Amino acid sequence: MKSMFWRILSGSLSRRKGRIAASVGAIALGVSLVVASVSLHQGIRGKVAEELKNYGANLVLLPANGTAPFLKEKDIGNLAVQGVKDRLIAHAPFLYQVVKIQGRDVVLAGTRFAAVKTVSPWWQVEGSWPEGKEAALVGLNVASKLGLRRGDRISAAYKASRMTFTVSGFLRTGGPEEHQIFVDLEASQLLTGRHGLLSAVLVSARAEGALDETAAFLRRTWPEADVRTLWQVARAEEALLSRIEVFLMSVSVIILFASGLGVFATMTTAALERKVEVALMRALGAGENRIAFIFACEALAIGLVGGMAGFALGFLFAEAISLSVFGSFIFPSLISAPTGLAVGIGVALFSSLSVVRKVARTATAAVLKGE
Amino acid sequence: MLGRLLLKSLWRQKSRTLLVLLSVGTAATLISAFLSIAFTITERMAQEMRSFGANIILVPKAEPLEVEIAGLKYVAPEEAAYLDEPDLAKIKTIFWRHNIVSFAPFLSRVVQFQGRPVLLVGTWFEREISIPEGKRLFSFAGGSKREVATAKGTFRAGVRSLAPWWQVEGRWLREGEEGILLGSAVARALKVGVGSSIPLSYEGKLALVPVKGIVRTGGSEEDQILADLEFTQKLFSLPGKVDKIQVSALATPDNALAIRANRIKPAKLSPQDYETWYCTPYLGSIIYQLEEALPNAKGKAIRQVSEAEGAFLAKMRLTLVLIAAVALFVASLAVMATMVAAIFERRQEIGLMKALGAERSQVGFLFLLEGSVSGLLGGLLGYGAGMALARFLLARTFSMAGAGVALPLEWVILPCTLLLAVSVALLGAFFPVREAMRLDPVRTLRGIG
Amino acid sequence: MVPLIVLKDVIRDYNGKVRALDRVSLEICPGEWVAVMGASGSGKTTLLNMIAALDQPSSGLLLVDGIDLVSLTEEDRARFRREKVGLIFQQFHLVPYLTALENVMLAQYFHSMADSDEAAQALGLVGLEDRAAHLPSELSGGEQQRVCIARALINEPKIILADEPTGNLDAKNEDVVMGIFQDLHRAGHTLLFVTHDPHIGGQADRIIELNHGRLLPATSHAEGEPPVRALRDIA
Repeated sequence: MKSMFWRILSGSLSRRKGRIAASVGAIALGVSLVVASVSLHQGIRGKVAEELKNYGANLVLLPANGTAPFLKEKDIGNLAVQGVKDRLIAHAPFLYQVVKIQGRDVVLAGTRFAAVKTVSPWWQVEGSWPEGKEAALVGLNVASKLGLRRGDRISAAYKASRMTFTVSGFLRTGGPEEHQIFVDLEASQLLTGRHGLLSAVLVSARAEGALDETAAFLRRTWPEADVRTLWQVARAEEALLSRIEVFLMSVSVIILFASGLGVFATMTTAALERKVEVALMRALGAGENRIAFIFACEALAIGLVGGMAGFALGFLFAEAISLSVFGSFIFPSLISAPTGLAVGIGVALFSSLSVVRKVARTATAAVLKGE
Repeated sequence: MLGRLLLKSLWRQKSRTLLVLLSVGTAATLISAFLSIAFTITERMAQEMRSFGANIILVPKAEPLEVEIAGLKYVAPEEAAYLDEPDLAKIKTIFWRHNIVSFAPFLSRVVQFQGRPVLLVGTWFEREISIPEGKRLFSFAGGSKREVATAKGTFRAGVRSLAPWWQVEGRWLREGEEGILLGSAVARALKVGVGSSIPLSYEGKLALVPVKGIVRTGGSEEDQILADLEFTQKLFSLPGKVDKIQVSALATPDNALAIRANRIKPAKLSPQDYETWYCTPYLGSIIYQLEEALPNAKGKAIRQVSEAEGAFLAKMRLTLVLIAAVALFVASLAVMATMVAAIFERRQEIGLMKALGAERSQVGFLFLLEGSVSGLLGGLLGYGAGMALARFLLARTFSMAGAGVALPLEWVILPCTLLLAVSVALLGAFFPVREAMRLDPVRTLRGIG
Repeated sequence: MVPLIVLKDVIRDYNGKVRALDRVSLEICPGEWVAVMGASGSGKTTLLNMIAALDQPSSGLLLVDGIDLVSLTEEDRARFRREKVGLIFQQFHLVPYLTALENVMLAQYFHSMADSDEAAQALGLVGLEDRAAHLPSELSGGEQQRVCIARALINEPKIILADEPTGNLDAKNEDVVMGIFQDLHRAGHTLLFVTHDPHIGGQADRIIELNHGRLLPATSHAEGEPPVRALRDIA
């Protein structure tokens, strides 16, 4: 047989559907805002770091002073060792050499285009990216000085060797790359006879955490390389990330406060209706603690359900925002669930108990008389 | 009578009125704060980003082909082309002159130091230049005219404002001073410190120059020697010449119009589109205006910087707008819930009015009027609080000077906030009032309903 | 006989200004049916609230069943209410989301242990055994008031206090409810009514009248016994 306590609780929850739904809804909405903002706050750092890699490579590896004038291509495996790998987003090798083209000195750079696309996403190619060992990407300024068009064949000479490339596209960057010609790494190594050698490796490392740490780690694993941080890029990333975090943090706090207030307003209004009920219970001889217990249990149930619904809703909000802004999902924040539930239950408890207290302070008889 | 009824009802039930106002006010606060932040913050972030380096480079129209080997840039002598130093001030005369944060000229050549080649770069470190004061009228094909005014006749240019993160050990060079700053990598390689003098030779000329400082920049400058522009012009026998100018300009992220203007020639846009494009600080239109001001220069966007910046800013704005939309949606529902509850409490009053023979429309009008008054009041309060909140947040996160900041678009946000607050309050009032009027007045009066 | 309720020089002031009761002295014996009458604002309800321990005298002596209500703590007053009195209100005050049966059980729950059989019996006593599973909104006014009476009776209180119990009822339901009270009176319950209706007051053993907080000289009950009906006839 059901105990009276359960009869009261289930009666109140099941037969006051409209009112309960309103309270649960208010809490769910408030909590959803909190959860969404906390999730975004937690997840945005990774997202923005991902975005900021568009700033390009933030580390450059050059041959160290006093050692060989080139890096060895096989040493690139050093970037894949445990502890370094997770900190890197992409890296691209480069081999530079001045060659003669149409009797003029031009810098020929050998690289891997697939890697360049991630390390230097800002490169704008008019025409198409080179494919194969015989295609070349020509800097805009080189093209205009040499009068090159797409499909033209250019012949590059270095010492005694000579190779022919077909112009597949032109490169616009607004930087020194416009003065260079890019070809496949193997082709340039073949032309210059520098098999397995590199002049530089551009690395795009994750900005979260100290970039210096990554650099120091790389210096240890690859002693032949001089690791330089490109501070302009790194600084921008670190500075913006921390600002955005502070900003979203403040936004979260404000939203927490505002939604708590909104939920409190709704809950109190809903609970005020039950003033008579509280007064009646008192008239029937129930002690204040007992009444408070009944109302607290009900608030707990409402807060719990509202909090969970709010968590789901807030999670959806956060994912929807992340999806439409960054085009990918964010990892659900672990801290947002307890925060959301705590807000939901806390506000529900506080507002319903404040009504019990309020009635306790006014004359029971007056409430019952309808004054 | 209506007015008295309204005032009495709002005043008598203070706690209920307060609750409704609180709820509407909170919603309005969120809305107005987020709206103004969403509009302001992108501008602030753009400004922040500008302190991370130039985004535009100006080179001579006939840009020579540079051959760069190990950080040394060579140019065929017969190809060399220059810009004129006196033209630099014109950069601050363009339509979007106020968006030019800083700029600096450069003139560089490879010089010899003890038989080793090293790049010597002449530039402005900190230079106060005078720029034409007063108004300038821009007229457009459509017949409209726009005026841009410069209040102050001086502007501080140079690498110290262009690249504020550069650090010097020793001291910066003064205008026209004969001396050099060594890039930190050069100093390490040459084993030279501050205070010593080093001989630099260029095409047979020899200069003994004192080292005034060592610079750390985190970029290619660490492999270079920096000097005052005037000194290099003398050494290279190129008086009044510079070979590139870096410009840092505040730009708005590209939209469809800007992309179209970049693809076709701006002159081919329709007059209206052209005016809109010209009068919006896209990177493309700023470059276009710079090329207008310096006819023998070619402007290029430093894509590594500008691309990332544009994409990043657009995404941050979108994030904020979406958060604002969610907050708006949730706050509106909360307001509606409060209104529903507040009116539900007053069933008896509605029943009484009906029992006294009030028309449905009269009762409805009174409650809806009360709803709009609450919406208006709450909206006003919320607008004030929201603006204060926005200022506070911006001051905290983007170190904008507290209350003195003029937030843009305040005049748009006020009516938006009020309209929203009133309509949400009305919507919240509508359903419960309708519901209450359907009830049997006798039952509601007896408190049974 | 030892009086069940004793008031001596009871004064009740509100905010130090309004004097709701002015030196009221009164004794009510067990089994007595007393009607309190008077104009609006004469202090009837205040007097009832005093005896229900919902209100406290500003000064004077108030004893109910040998308990001094003046010196009780809030917790003791709650216990007094659940053990000694059964309350019946003009507005019924049933919990809207509980069935008739559960509303009766609520009083049991606060008193000691809820027992649905006992509660059903109490509903049977007021002729509502077939309405036990209905919500208050599904009951007529008279039926709701009968549920209230069942609720007031369930803990076998010493006194039943009713504030305008028929104020919200039509004539037919009023007769039904009053019939129940007469049965209760005959069964030996002590009843205290507040009413302004002379017809209702006339059914009591004794009428006391208040005027501006003062007790008017005792009005002895008119002869002529009220009609007696069996509970079954009412149902």
